[in-house]
Amino acid sequence: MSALRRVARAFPMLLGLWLGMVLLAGLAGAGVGWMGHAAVEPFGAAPDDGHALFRVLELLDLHRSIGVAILGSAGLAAVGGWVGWTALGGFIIARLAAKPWDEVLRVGVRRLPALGVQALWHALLTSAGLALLAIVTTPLPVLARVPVLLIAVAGSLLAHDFVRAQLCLHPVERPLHPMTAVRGFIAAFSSPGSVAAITALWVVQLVAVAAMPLLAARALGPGAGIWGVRLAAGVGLLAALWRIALAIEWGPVRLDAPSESAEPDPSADRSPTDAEDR
Amino acid sequence: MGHGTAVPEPTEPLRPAAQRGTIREDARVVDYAIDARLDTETHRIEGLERITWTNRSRVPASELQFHLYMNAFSAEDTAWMREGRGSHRSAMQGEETPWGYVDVQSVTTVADKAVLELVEGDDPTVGRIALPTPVAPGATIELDIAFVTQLPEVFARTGYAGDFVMAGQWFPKVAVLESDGRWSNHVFTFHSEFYADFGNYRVILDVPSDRVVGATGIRVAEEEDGDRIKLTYEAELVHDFAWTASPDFVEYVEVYDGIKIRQLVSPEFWDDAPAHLAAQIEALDSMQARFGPYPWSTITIVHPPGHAPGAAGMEYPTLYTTSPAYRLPGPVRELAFDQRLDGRFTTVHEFGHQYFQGLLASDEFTVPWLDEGMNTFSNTLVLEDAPAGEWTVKIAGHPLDVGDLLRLDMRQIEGRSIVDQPADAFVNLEGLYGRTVYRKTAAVMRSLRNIVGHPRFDAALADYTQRYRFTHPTADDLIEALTIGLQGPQPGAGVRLSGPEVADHEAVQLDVADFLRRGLRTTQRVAYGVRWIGNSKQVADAGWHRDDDGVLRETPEPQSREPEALVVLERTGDFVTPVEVEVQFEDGEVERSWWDGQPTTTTLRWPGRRVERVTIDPDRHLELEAIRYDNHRYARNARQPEGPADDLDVLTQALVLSMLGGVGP
Repeated sequence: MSALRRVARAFPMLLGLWLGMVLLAGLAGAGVGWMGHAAVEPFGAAPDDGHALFRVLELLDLHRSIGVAILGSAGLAAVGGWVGWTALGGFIIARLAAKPWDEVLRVGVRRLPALGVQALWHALLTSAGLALLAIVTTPLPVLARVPVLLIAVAGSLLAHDFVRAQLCLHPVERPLHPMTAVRGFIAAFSSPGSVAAITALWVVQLVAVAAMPLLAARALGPGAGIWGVRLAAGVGLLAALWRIALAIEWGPVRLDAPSESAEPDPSADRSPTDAEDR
Repeated sequence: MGHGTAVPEPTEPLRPAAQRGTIREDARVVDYAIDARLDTETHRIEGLERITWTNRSRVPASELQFHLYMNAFSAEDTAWMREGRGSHRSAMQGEETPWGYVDVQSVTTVADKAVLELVEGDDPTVGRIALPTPVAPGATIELDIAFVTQLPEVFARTGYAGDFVMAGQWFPKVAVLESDGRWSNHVFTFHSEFYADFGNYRVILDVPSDRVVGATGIRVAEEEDGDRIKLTYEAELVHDFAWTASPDFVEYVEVYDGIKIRQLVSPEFWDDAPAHLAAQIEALDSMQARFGPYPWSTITIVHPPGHAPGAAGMEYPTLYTTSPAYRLPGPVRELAFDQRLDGRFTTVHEFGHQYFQGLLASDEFTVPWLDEGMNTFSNTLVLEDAPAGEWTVKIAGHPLDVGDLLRLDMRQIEGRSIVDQPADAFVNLEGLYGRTVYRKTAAVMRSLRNIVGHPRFDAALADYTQRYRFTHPTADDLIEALTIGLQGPQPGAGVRLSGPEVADHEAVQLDVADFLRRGLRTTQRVAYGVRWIGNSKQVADAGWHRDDDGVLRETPEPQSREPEALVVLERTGDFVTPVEVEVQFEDGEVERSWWDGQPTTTTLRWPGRRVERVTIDPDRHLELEAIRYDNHRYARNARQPEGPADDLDVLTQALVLSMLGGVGP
């Protein structure tokens, strides 16, 4: 099954995730909007006179708490998003692997601790690696550094996706061990073609991420539109799921020490819970 | 490398008579002939200056007073250093040569070789020489002064950084003797700048021959001697002489309107030069059209090296230093962020000083707003006159214009600071100087210009700038010129603002002098708001009334009542000024009128009509008004456009979605 077909078959999940994101964002936005309206009432907005940006800055300047609320919402979304996506990882991967819903739930719940620990290892290894890379590439011009760093992040994402997919779909002997995360990196960067494909999807996701605030800012003033932003969020989500589906498609990979484990069975598309159950 | 280096030097420091505008015959007060030698090892300038000073006052002068500006950096307890505490505009005092000074070593009269003594004041930035014989009004005295100037590492406009030298305020300079015989010789303080008389300069600079040199005026001779070169400069009718030198400067030269524009560019900023030239030309076009011809034949723009940021952004006659232009890539500018306030604006601002202090040589210590504030105001007009239009910053395609930025600034200082004060009335740590002197002045002038109409204001200001060229105008001179120029010489007559449909006795008028007094000499804040808006039924006479016989009789309820539109306006600030009001009725008709703003509230009625919206100051004339959100109000049930709260809702959603999408899944 191709990766894109996996995503297409999981379209209800994609829709559900997207709606969840939209709902969370809507709640945060409504809170801020309520604060803004409370701050300016009973006065109304000016007719469109080309000064929408000034009016936003005026409101933020007069009521700094609104700015704090906006930044707080964004910060909470970043932290909460990391935790939330980590928690949902098992469900998403199992669904993309076309598991039935009861198994999706079982994998999602049972693999949660391992996914959480591996997410931490991945974050640590990625941070350290990127810091090192940033130092090493200092002599390079910016135009050369940016692609290098983009590829590095994309490779790191692929490494994490390999580990997560393996944890959810195949037996892993040491699911909590940092070397499992390290071997994910080895597996990812051993396949430059895979990294290149993931980089392309990662760039799509990045563009979508950058486009969202930009679209919102460009739409300031009467008739400010949110649907372009929501659409961009959907595109970003689609790219991310496609990326994970590719890792499933390209797996399994070797995450156990060669001397300690047998060669993984490439035909295995069974749940680790099956193995544990046996 | 270089651009236009073959352009010849002008033959005269002033432009031809037909192009340079009027020059007053009594403008020239003091001439300087200076021989100066730069020692690049010690960073010292050894100088000998001959001063030819004419007493233009009405009383004999028994002494000559001097500015010794470089002594501001001589010790940590000078007036300047006490305020600056070792830094200026984020640049820090150097460690290699932290101190600078000017040491007058001898003073002799040319006529009889009498040896005189220059005595420094309590603060070493001022000094005086007692004269053996008073100089009569109209008479002239010549003095020879030998001096040594130690340049500090540059952190506050003047000094050196490696091989780069920016020599500003580097020689003993005669203070201004006012016409009543009073010396204006102010201690050099942190915010105060300079004040001097016009005169002619002939300066010989002896520097290493590898230095690329720029200076006030024109270069008239050069004489190479081994590894040194002597460069002779002449300038006419200027009140200062500055120069710069560096072996690394690259020249970028163009001629515009007969003026040689020479940029001395540190190599790292070479790519900026065309943008600065464009800004310079925009400034020239705008300011010559508004304030009269630029009189001199050269403009030298200095781009200090990146390791000498303290030298950036300072004006001297025909020469100024600018700062880097930060140009983002085209797509970023188009989609996300663009601005016109980088080094290109520095260029506009510092060139603007060629008018507001270079030509209109006000006392920068006593009335700093007269140059900094009026210059900032004129700079905003340069921006608006330029082809790019009125915006200054664009975020995601949405512009902030000058008025928007000024309002945001006014919010920070409203009710806190008076414009018309001496420079040393502002405490550096309070951070009010720039916003008050530069920006509030600009907001006052722009607000007045908007209210009375641009052509009318521009004509009055042009009259001021033409009349006071090559003089020392005061604040009262400007206020009087604007008042008379806008409302005529008759006292009590204001500028009529109401339209012709309003009878004279009901017409709203603006008292220009009162507006300027409130704006410049008080802390009053401009604040208007819509207190109430609604529609009611007209009042009739239903009910019980006594008739002529004192008997109560009932008047019945009328069968139908006409509606009445009601609007209550409020002046919540103490700055009283007329303000325009726009009312939109339910039938779609829009009507405008002026409210004089005298009472703190007023109720406006429109019998027979129903109102939908009211907006105070719909054309955003009053840029002094920091808070505008209460200027709009809608009647109940009226349809309102989405406002900033809705924008922030959308922005928040976008940021949250962006964060959620950025971290996963």
